[in-house]
Order: sequence, then structure tokens, then C-alpha cells
Amino acid sequence: MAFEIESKQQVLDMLALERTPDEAGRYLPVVQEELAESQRELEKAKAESARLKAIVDANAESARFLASKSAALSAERDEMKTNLRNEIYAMRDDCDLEGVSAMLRKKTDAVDFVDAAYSFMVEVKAPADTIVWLDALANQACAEHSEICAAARLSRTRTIIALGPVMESEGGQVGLIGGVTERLREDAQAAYKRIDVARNTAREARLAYDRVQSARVSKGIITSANTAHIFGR
Amino acid sequence: MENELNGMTAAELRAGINEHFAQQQASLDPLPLPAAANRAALTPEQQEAVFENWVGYIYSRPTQTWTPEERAAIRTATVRVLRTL
Repeated sequence: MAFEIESKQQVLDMLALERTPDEAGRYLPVVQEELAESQRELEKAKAESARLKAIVDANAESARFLASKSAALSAERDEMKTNLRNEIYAMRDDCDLEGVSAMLRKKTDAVDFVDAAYSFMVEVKAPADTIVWLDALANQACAEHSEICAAARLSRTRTIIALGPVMESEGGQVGLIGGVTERLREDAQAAYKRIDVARNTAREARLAYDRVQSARVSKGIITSANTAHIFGR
Repeated sequence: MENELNGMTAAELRAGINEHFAQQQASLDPLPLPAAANRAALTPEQQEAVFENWVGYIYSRPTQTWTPEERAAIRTATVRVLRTL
């Protein structure tokens, strides 16, 4: 039986038949279950990635909202400051200083709160959630790889079974082409590379997050808000 | 005027080729072959059916009882089946 050799893997396949057709027949239900299980795992991994992606998207939306709210509140506070200052200039002793300063304090607190929430969002929550999402993508890449490997094993096992009598009739002088198996193996190699890419992306995000957190800790000691408090301004 | 090859006209050659393919197809017809020539064109259920039918057929009789014509047809068909596995 003449076969065209298209790759080194095919030569290896021909040289090393890992199972006899009988063994492959007994192994088939196991391989089928492996594929079914890996498909279920892949679906779960995809669902988890989608869930975490929704959180990442919601974070971006919240950050946009907080940025715009901060800008609006800051403008209101500045305008209020100007108005209240003018009120003091105009009313002097008649001005309810405690009342107006309480109003200003309330607005300033709101600005500070929104700014802190924005800062927490862009420096802590969003990057942390993104890392979790990237980890989930790496898990998904692993699950995809497992699924393709299981499909390749099933293809290989079926090929051996389907060829059993042909091999027997040819006196064992038969090599396996397994073109589909070979393609699945190539897909598996590509999927394996995608795992690396996904893991590296998550690792880089984690390092970037650590750098931001270090800076945040340092910045926390010397922020203008803190210095104002320390120096009693 | 048509060219000649080994004393045969192009029309005779075409007829010979067609007859050869018809004979080959006739030898393949009794075999449980997939409707499409590649895995991508088949649904998972169809792939399953191809495998089950093929295995059912090929294991149904001892290989010693295969005629030379059957053996030749099975060789050709095997390649087609393998593309769906």
C-alpha cells in the first residue's frame, strides 16, 4: 500500500504504532470520554472568561463614569468656593461662616470620595480584575489545548481501528497517514503556543500591577492631602 | 484534428479514462463511504456514522475472504475514510 509522506510526524507514526487495532478498540471509550470531558471543561472555561470579561468591561464603564463625575463635582466645588468667598467679602460678620464652610466641606468630601473611588478603580480594582480575567484566558487556552489533544487522540485511535483489517490484509506492511490527526496535532502545537502567550500576558499584567501598588504605597505617604494634614494646613 | 497517443485518439483516451473511473466508482459503491471527502464538510454525527459504518463493514468478514477487487477497492476507500477520522 503506497502512502505519500508529508511530514516527519507521519514517518514516526508509521514506525511506531503505539497500539494494536484490538487495543485501540478497547481504548476507544476512554478516549471518547476524555474528549467529552475536555469539551465540558472548555465550555466551563469559556463561560468563566466571559463572566470575568463582563466585569472588566463594567470596570471600564465605571471608571469613565467616575472620571466624568469627578470633573463635574470639581467644577461645582470651585464655583462654590468662588461664590462663598465673594459672600464673605460682601457680608463679612453677617456671613454664616460655619454654615458656608460646612456646605463647602460637603462638596469637597464628595470630590475626594469620587477621586478616591476613581483612583481605587484604575489602580487597584480594574487591574486586579484584568489579571483574574487574563488568568481565566490562560486557563481557557489550556482547556482548548486539552480539547484538541483529546480530539487528536480520538482521531488517531479511530484511524488505527479503521485500518485494522487493512493492515492485516497487507501483512502488517501498512503505515498510518492520519492526515486529520496530523492537522489536529499541529493545531495542538498552535494551541500550546497560545497558552504561553496568555500566561505571559497575565504575568506582565501582574508585574505592572505590583509596580503600581508599590508606587501607590509610596505615593500614599507623600500625597498632597497627607502633607496638608501633617502640616496642619 | 485531434492528437494521437499510442495510436489512440484523444476521444478514445477520454473514453478509456472515463471507463476506468466508472469501474473504480462501481467497485467503491458497495462500501460505506462518507458523503463528503473531508472531515470539515461533515457534522460530528456524520463523522461518527462514517466511522461506525466503516468499522462495521470492514470487520464483518475475515480479511482472507476479501477478493482482489474488494481489497483494491478497500485500499482506495480507506484513504477517503481516513480523511474523516
